[in-house]
Amino acid sequence: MRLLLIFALCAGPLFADTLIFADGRIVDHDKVEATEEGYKLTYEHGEIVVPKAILRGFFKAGETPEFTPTTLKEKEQAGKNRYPWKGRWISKSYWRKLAQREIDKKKEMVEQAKARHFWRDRAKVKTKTFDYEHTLPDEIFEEWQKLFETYYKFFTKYWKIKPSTKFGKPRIHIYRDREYFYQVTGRPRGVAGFYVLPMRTLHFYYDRRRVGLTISIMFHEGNHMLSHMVDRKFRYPWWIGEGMAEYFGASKYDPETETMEIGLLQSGRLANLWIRIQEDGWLKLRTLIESGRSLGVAGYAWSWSFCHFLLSNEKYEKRFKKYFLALARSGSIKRTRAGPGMETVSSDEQIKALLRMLKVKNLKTLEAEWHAYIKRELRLDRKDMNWSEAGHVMDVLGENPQARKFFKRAIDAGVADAQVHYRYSWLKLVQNKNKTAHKYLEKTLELDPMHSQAISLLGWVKHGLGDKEEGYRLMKLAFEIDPLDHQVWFNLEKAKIKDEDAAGG
Amino acid sequence: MTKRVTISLAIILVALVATPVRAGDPPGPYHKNDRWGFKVKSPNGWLTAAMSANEKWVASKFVGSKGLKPKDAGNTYYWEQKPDFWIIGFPHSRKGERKAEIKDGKYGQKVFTTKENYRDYKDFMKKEGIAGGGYHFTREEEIDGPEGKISIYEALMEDPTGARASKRILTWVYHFDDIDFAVQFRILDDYYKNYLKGFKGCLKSFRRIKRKRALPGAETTGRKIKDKDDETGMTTEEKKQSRQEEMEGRIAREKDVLGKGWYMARSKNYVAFSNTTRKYTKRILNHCEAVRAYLAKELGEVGSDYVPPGIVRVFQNYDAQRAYSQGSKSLWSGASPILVAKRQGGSFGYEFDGLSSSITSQWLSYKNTALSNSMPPWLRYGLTQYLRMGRSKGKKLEFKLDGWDRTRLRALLKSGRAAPIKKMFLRDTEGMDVYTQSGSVVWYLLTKGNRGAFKGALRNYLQNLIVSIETAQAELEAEREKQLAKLEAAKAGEAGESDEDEDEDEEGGDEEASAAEEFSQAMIDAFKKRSKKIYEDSFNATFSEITDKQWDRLDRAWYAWAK
Repeated sequence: MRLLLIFALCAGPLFADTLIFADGRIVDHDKVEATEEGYKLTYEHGEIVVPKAILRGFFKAGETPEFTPTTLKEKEQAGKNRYPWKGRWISKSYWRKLAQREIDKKKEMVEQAKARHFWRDRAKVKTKTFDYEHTLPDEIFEEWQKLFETYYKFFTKYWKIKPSTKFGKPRIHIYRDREYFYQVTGRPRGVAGFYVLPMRTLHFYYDRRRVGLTISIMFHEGNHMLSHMVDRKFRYPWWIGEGMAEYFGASKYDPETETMEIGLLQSGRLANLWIRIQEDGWLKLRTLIESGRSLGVAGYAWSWSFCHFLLSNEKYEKRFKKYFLALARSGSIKRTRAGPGMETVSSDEQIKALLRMLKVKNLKTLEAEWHAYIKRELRLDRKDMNWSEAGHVMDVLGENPQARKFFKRAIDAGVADAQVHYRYSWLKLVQNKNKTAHKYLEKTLELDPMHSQAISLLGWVKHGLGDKEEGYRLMKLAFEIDPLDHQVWFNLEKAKIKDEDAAGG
Repeated sequence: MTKRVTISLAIILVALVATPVRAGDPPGPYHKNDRWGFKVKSPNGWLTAAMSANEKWVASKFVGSKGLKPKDAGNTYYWEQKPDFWIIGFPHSRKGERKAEIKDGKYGQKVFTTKENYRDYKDFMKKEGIAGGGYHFTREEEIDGPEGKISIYEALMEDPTGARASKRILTWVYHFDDIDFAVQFRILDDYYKNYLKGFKGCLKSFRRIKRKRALPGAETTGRKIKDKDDETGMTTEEKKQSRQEEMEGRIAREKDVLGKGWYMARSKNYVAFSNTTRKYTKRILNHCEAVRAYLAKELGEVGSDYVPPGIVRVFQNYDAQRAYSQGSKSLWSGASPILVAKRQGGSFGYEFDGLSSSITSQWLSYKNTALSNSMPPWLRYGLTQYLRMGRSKGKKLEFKLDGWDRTRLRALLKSGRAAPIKKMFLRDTEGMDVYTQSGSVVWYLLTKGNRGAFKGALRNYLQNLIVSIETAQAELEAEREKQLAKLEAAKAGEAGESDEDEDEDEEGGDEEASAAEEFSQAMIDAFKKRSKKIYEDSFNATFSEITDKQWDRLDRAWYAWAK
């Protein structure tokens, strides 16, 4: 899937050249030179070479497109005024026309991204089912839109539901990045997306460094929205709302066939689940149902595992799906008020209905089966485990040793992700393993030479290892690239204080 | 009457009855601020807010004369809100100042920290949460003003949950060579258009005048402003001197920023800054003294530390108090004054409840900081709730539970959810109900229930709690020293060893925690252990002789008394 993001717009000088990175960043810089390896950007404190392989496009200010043949075949064909275009040879003039069209399209994308930088300039798109408000370029948005509409189709078919016309069209807000999402929505840090029941509005942002996470968040929060469509006056109990959202959050969309694969592994949740089992022991099913929300982050992991168990079990799958719909719709389940115009089901009533509909004698039996399923199927050594994701989740939760272990497994498995390498380096530095941190920071920069935090941290490490001159140069270079990044500034200041302290100042 | 006349009259009647579209308040007279050096017109009839000596950024504040209700309200989620008008100063000498420094960490280890001033108005707006929620700029523009450039910002706060009404912020930032002034209006979005003309009149009226005094935050008193966190390692006498100096310095600074209509009044232990009548201020001061005298008599033995004079700000009404309380975060640095607003009509007298609670918390926190910080939350809350029930009569307090507190307690007792008192001391209760009964339980244990097996029980418990806290604190300190030494040794070892092959340790094996991570974990564990031990030890030392039957009797007696 080609979901590329565009939103790290670096303010650049007038008449600057423009680099579009594969991860969506756009960098304008006035000192760019094309070299054999890529494009060399010159700053006051050093040069950075960006390989062509990690770029999606490059525009030289004011120049028309030209093809430079490098291979023998290309040179030979160029002599005949024929240039390569997507696997075939075409005439030079036609090539120029097509190339210019492609450039114009990309330029338009850049212009759209710039023009929609602020929420006040957002685009509004209405479809048959949803109203979208977003700050993405059209080309990118259309892919997300297709993804969401497919998700909707899948969901309604899966649950065999037809949302009431009274529900109206829900709104979907997509923000250009995390910081801007926090500013516009006012949500506390740590929230990655949310759905507001009374407003029927879904909010989430792009994380250009972790596109997979963005998709997962969209599926998760989108599931809250779609579940709300089952009955607009019903608020699902916390454990089942979050458990199902996590279950559907781990879905995969195939753009070729436009199909969805659901119920895949939530690697981060699984890693967290096992940490909690080791530290707090096994959770009682009654506790999950009665007070899942108070378990915090762990509540999501437990809820997901319980839903995963029920939906993967031949005996329970159909019954549990019936139970999910019955909670909102069945007349045989007693409901209680849950805010103005909303209803829910008390935990006692949930348990009663669960046992009745799953045809289980008591909660203990079901609990034992659930725990056995985790031990048997949701093991950490599963082949489909996404170690990068598990590492990121452990990293956010402050479980450093686990985060290091999972990141390392991801790296050893060949994951070429700059952010995974960067966070691993950081965690090695926390461990005082400076040389290892140094090694993985260099790898980070091979994958993403413009990673300002990695440049700065490499400078800090070099400074710590005694190479102060080079350390300062790198920290200053990072500051030149990204002066507003707190960590970049902080590393430079820390180094200065350390030196002043050592000098007795 | 003809049909046509009837219709015309009906139209006129509807026009008269329908809520008129209210035009905003027009600009009033100039307000001059010679400390910051500007004058500006505020909307006619708006309240000029009192300023705190601590405020470093907000120069002047005004509050609208009328409360506004969201137009689509019609339910209980919304309440009236008044628009406000602030002038915020950003001296270039302070602007964008960022500083990193090494400080002692939570457990005594060295850590790097940062201090950062605001880069500009937008930075201030974001970090201070001026919009009160999520916001985006609907307009950003730069124009030429009479004395330089002016940046215009218009922002919209829209709560995505819909629980709060949308707000609009309109700010003009006047740029000068040495300082920027942000002149900012905040109002419910529903009324923005009505008020806009008046706002623009005020925004355009802003002019600089000659500054006559030092800017807040720039003046020096010759000593660092301290709070109680800086008292580590001080003797009782040193603490007394430090607190006296701090409080006298604060009183002098508050006096210096007093606005028109304000005056200072003093009693033995309290200083009031008031803009109400002398008679009412005296009544407030008398009440403060009565509460303090009661605390000293009944609980004086809980600590030997000096309790400095307290500062009380007495406001004419709650709006004035609210206007004073809103400002930048700098307003709340160091020791804060107690705020009290004169209530009117039927609610007169309720202000004394909050005043008593604040005096109790402040007194306890100075008298024995460790006890105040480590006391079971229900007991600390219970003590302040108990003192809330006291009404001063001359120099004495008379206790009475009435109003909402009484209704809630009765409802709790009736529901059968009230927690047994033993469980409260054992901290074996769940939920918030325990707070409803805590004031009554404290009252009972100090008065009617202060007999038989429970004679002096609460005071004894507090004494034992102090001993437990001191013992546990000493153990925690010892653990901290041990862990710090271990950390230093590990660091020295790590510095000496080669890490050529250090990457080997992750291969399949379990990851080891670093020395710093182990240190943090050890201290978290030690802290948890300490908290648990404090409550267990103090309970055992106080109540080991008490049988379950006696606890049951106490519960029954309290229920009967509290009903």
